[in-house]
Amino acid sequence: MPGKVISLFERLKGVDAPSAEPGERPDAPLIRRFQAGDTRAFGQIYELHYGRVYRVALRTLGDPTEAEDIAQKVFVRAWHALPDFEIRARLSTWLYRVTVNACLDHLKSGRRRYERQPAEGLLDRQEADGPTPAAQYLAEERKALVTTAVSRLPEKYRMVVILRDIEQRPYVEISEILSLPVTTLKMRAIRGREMLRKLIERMVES
Amino acid sequence: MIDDDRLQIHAEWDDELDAAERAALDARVAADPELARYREDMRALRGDLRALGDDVPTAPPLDFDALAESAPPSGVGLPWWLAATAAAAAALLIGLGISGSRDSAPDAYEEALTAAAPEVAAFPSNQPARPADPGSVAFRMEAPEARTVAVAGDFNGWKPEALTMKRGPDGAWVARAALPPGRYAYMYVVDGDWTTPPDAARTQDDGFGSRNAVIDVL
Repeated sequence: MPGKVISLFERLKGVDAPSAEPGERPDAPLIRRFQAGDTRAFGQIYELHYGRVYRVALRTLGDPTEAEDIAQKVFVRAWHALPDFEIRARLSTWLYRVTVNACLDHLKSGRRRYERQPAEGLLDRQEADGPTPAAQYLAEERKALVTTAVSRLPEKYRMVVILRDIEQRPYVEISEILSLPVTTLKMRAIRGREMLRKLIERMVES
Repeated sequence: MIDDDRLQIHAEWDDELDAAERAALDARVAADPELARYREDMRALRGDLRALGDDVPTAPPLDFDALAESAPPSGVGLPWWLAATAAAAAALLIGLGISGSRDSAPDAYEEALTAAAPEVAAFPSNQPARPADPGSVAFRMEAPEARTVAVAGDFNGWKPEALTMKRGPDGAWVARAALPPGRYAYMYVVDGDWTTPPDAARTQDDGFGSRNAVIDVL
């Protein structure tokens, strides 16, 4: 097994579909299998959760390359932490928490790759396939505009908007992720949304 | 200061209004064009933000080699194919504080710890611990703006002054403790504030409305 990058097919073949016990979280069987030594289960965990980790990192940092780096670090951390992970805990909450902390550490460290380009996002890497229909173009323009506005929010509002309004996590879970009371989160969400509204208005006008 | 009507619009955004509250809001919005515009803007923004969450990036291939190379020195908790080769080095800890605590080779942290915290047992690093030795646990906390950070747990009577952390070369706070085998609960005390270790793999209710991190030392 060492010495090669394992493809998705190789990782998934022969892996039985996991089934959770009644009342268990859906990824509990995968975690249990990984804890028992089945590394292919980690591949499935990675596939299941990569999207949310990358999205949060991208919306926080505004740079796809930095977001990929953060995502890789988060899953290296998960590789080490999952053997001791409490099955009853929600893995996605833990991953969000680790991702947020890794992003904030990265921002504070000053080790930015270069000044971020907020409008750059997921779609920007996939749109080089010729002209897009007008409606799609407008939708993508709007998406880029909102992405830029989110990236310009002060950090404490940005994190709440990302987790609540983009990732659509419940306040109770965000409270666990950010270690903040729900009342504080609600006020930050409202404040963040109002700031976003003004930012977008200004950007459209300019 | 945001007014009550606008608060209701955000409660609507969060799906927290019942039918009667929504009907009352509809009536107020119908009578107030400015409030109607605010609600319309917020609904549009809600859709815009949700659309950002619809993006599904393709996960790059997972490099198991790189993961294996970053593996901790302990055989405990490793996948079977690594655990087999590391079995001889058993009897080490299985739970550590924050990531990076399980480094397999001496690094700048080791030097900083040795110099800064001589009272703490030296970490066995990449050498297997003797079964009779107590496990050595490394704690690491990213708190670049903190002035003081300590570890308080049931192993030191929950006294922060018993295990103060030192700032490492990269700004992270580090400490090490020699603990006999067992399960331990702990928290960090950052500038006097009791803080749940943010990356703890396992936590438990502390009975005071917060959560302690939990580690097992073999």
